[in-house]
Amino acid sequence: MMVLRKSLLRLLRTPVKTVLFFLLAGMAAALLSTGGGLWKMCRENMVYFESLFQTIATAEQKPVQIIKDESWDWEREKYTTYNRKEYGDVIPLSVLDFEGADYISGPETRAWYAAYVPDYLLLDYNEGVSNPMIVEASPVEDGIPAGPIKMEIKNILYSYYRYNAPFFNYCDHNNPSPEMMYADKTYIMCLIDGLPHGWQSPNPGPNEFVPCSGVISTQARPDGSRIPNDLSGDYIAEVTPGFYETEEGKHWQALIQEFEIGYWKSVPVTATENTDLIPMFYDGNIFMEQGRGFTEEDYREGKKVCLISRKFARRNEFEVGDILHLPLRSANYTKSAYISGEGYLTAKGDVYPVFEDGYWEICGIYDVLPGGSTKGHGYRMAYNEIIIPKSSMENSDSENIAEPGYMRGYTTSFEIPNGTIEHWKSLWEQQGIDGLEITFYDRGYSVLEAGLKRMNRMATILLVTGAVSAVCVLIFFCHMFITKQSTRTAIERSLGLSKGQCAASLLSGILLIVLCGCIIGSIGGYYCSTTAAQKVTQVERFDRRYSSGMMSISEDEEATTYLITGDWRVGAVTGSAILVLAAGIAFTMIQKSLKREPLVLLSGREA
Amino acid sequence: MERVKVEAVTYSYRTKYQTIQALTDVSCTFETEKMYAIVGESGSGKSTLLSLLAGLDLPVSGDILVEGESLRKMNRDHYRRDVVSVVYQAFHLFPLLTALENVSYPMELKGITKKKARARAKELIAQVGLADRICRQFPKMMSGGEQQRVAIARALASEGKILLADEPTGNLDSENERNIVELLKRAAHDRGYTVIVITHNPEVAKEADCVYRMRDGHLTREERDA
Repeated sequence: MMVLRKSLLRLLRTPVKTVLFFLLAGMAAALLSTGGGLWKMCRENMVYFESLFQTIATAEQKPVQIIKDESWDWEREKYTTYNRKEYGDVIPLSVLDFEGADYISGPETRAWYAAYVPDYLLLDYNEGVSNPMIVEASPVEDGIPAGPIKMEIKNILYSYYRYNAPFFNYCDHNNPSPEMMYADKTYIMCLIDGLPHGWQSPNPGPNEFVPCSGVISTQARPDGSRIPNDLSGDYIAEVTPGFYETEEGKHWQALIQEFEIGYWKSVPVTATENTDLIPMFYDGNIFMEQGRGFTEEDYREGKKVCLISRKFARRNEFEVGDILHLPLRSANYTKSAYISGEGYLTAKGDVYPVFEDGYWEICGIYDVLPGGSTKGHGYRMAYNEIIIPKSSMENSDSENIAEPGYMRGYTTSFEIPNGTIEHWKSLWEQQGIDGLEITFYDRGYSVLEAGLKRMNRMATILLVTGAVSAVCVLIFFCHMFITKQSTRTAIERSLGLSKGQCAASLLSGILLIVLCGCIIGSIGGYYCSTTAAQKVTQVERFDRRYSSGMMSISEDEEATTYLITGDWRVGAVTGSAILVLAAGIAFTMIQKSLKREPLVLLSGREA
Repeated sequence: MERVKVEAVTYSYRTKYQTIQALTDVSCTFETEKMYAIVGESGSGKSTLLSLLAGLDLPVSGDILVEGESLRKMNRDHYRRDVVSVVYQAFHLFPLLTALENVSYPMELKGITKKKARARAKELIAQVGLADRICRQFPKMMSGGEQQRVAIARALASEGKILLADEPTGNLDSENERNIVELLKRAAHDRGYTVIVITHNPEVAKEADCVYRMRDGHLTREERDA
C-alpha cells in the first residue's frame, strides 16, 4: 500500500506530465469509443435493414416500335387511329441468367394457371366480370350489321345470366365491311354487351351486342412462338343442318365448354419461387389473415401448400389446413392472373386438358390492404387467386401454354442481395441486351446504405486514429514513466523492494491515469458516437414503399429509421482494451527495466 | 565478531566492447562494531565490491557470507531491506520526494507507521547536521553536500547492521566531513554497525579501524602504523 501511495504521490508531483497523459489517454479512448460506437451502430443497422429490406427488380420487354393502327367505328362511320406497341420476338428469360448475377430468388416469369374446380364457389352475384354470350339467332329482317340490327334469339348456348328478352340488337361495330345477314338463316354468334350508339348523347340508341373472341387459338410453344392452327377465327357462323358435326361446329362446342369451365369453374393459380417477387406481396399490400406465408422449406422441398384469398375462403368455408384439389389446365404468360374464360382453345380447337393434377394444403389465407396496389391493373391480385410454390408442381406446362407473353413487370422479377443494384447493372450492361427495361425496388435501402457507408467510413477512421493514438500515447508515456525511471527502480530495489513491488509501483500509477482517462473518454465517446451518427444520417425517415423513383413520405406513412442508440458497452470494451493495452505495454517495459541489474544502473556503468 | 566474510570472490561484467574483470579472488572479513575503509585508484573495483556486498548482484565465483549465511541462498530483497544500507557516491535520492520522505522511505517500507517514520527521519536529518527546513526540500533544491547527508540519513534510517558508503564525504566541506565520519564511527562503535567506506580521502581512511586497498581487482589489507 505504501508503495502505491508513493507511486501516486510521485505522479501528483509531475502534474503537467500526468495531466497530459490523462488527456491524451482520454482522447484516444474517446476516439476509440466513438469509432466503436459508430461501427456497432453500422453493424446493427446493416442487420436491421437486411431483415427489413429486400431488393427486387422487374423486367419488362420494351416495344421495338409504336405503330399507328386504325379501327373502324360504325357509330362515327370512320376509322379511329390508335397507337399499338410492336414488341418483336419474345426475349427469353434465360438472358437474365448470366455469370456473376447473384440472385436470391428468380429470375422467374410467372404464369397463371387455370385450375378446374367445379365444386368450389367462385363469384358472388355482385362481382361483375365481362360476360360473353353465345347464342343462335336470326335477324328479324335481312340486313347488314353496320349499326344495330334486330336479332331474334333461337337458342342461348352459353350465358351467365338469364337473358329473357327474345330479341337483341347486334352491331358488327369494328368491321368496316360486314356481310349481309339473312332473316331465313340462323347464326351462331359470340357476343358481348356493348355500348349503344350515341351513348354520350342525351338520346342514346338502343343497347347492342358486339362480337367477341370467337373460334381462335393462341397456343404457343415455350419459346413463345405460336403453334399453327386451322381454326376459322370466326365469331359468327351460319348454322346449317349437321353444322355441329363438322370440324367448325365442334370447335364452337369446345368454345362453349371453355367459356363454361373458364368463367365459372376455374380459379387462377400463380406459381412462384418467392412470394416477395409478386408485386402485391413485395409492396406489403398483402397480409396473412390466417395461417402463414411460405417458408424456405416449402420452396426448397416443393411442399404442396397454397395461399388463398379471404373471400374465396369465406365463400367455401375453407380453413387453414384444408386440402384443395387443383387440376391445372392452361398456362397464361401474357396477362396477370385473372378470372379465366378468355375462350382459349388448343391449336386443335379443343378445350385444354389437365397437365398437373394435385392436392395442395391451405397454409395461409391472405387479404389485401384497403387501397391495394398503387400500380396498374396487372399488378393487382385476381379474384380467387391461389398462390403455390413453383417447386410444388411436378409437370411442365410446355404443352398447355394458352398464351405466350413478353416479360412484364408483373410477371417477371428477381431478387438480388441488398446494395448490389449497381453491381448487377454493370454486369447487365456487359451483356449488351437492349430490349428489356429493368426496374429496381429496394424500399429506399440504397439511400440508407449510403448513410451507413458514410457512418462506417467515419467509424473506421476514428477506430484507426484512436488505436494508433492509443498505442503512441501509451508507448510514449510508459517510456516516460518506466524506462526513464529505471534509476528510480534501481534505488527502490537497492532499498529492498522486490521486483513485484517495483512493478506494482510503476504499474499502479500508469493504470490509474489510463483508467481515469478511459472512463472520461469512453463517456465522451458514447455521446459523440450518437451525435456523429445523427449528423451522418441526417435523413432519418424513409418511405417503406420507396421504389426506384423519388423518395417521398407523409406523416401517416410507415417509416423506417436508423437505429441511433449508443451502447455504453462499447465504451466499456474500448476502455478496457486500452487499459489492457496499457498494462501490456507497461508490463513489457517494466520487465525490460527490471532485467537491468541495479548494480549496473546505480554504478553508472551504462552511462 | 565476524559479520561479513568474502571468500575468493571473482566478478566480471561485459560492456559494449569488452569484458571487464572487476574483482579477482578477493577475500576478506568485516567484523561488527568496526569501521573499514577501502581505498584504491578509480576503476580498481572498489565500487563493484561494495555493490556485491550490498546484494545488488552475485559474484561470478566465490561467495559472500553474512553472519555465516551465503548471500546466494538469502532472499536478497530482504537482505537489502533489513540488513544492509548503502550511501552512493551519486546520492541516488528519489527526486520527486522531499528529504523527509526520502529518509522515511526505508522505514515505511519496513512497516513503520508514517508518523513514527517521519519523526525518526527528522531526528536523523538533524543528526547529519541538516537544518529542519531541508526536510521539505526536494533533492534538486539542495546542494551536493546536503544531498549527501540526506543519503546518509536514509542509510541510517534502514537500521541495517551493515552500512556501506561510497565516498560519503566527497561533497562535503572539512567540518561536515568530520561530522559525517564521526557519525559513521559512532554507528560502528556505539550501535554495532559494520561500516565499510570507500574513499579516496586519506583523512577518512585514517579514521577507519581497518583499511583495505584495492588494486586492479585485487584486495589487500593495509597494515596500520603503530
